[in-house]
Amino acid sequence: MTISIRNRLNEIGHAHRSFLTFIGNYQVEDALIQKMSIVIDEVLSNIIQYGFKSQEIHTIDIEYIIHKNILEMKFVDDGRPFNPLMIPQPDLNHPLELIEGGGLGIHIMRNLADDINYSRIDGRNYLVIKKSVL
Amino acid sequence: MEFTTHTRDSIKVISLKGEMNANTSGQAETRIDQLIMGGNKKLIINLDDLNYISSAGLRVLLSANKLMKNKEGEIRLCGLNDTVKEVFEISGFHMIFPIFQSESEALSGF
Repeated sequence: MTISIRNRLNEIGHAHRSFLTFIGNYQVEDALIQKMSIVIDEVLSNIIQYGFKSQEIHTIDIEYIIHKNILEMKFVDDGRPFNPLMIPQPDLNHPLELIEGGGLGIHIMRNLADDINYSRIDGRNYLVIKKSVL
Repeated sequence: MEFTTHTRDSIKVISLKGEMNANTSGQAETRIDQLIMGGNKKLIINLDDLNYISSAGLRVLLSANKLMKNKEGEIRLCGLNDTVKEVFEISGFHMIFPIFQSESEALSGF
């Protein structure tokens, strides 16, 4: 399934509802759907809140695929280059620093996904997140 | 997301239903802050019907906790499903909040 949303927080609901429609065609446990819904929220809120310098409308393209029991979610945007994998892993002995210092959403996303791949091609960020649905 | 509040053993309980994400967490923040600013020094947040929470929701809980601590009060959480529990553990929130299985357990000794 492929959809596009605008860079506004209230459009995340559209991405989420589309995901539920898509994943509803497969036998996937509720907990996994909840976790991937969190990942979608973290990725999109990050792009929307920090990806663009101005209030101009931009489009974020999203693709959901399941192939060989692997869910693949691809997010493409033309915002500033941002590789979430470059954010250092936080010190979990100091949870308040993690929570207040930023990067909390990325930390959660990295823990809930099996594999995350980032590339920057022709001025666009490509973030591909994989999760086994078995 | 939906909220309901009730009072049990003279303690305010707010139940959150649905999802606490980047789009909905602002509504929850307003309602929880109203309860704290309204003078409730003991507050139970019941998450029985919360499907999931993202970092935006965690930040709302943290800011409510700070507000409550400034008023020398306490927030207790109950009813976390497995996904919410996992997110709490990933982010260290289980070390910040007193967490109970059920509303009755949260009320006990509060």
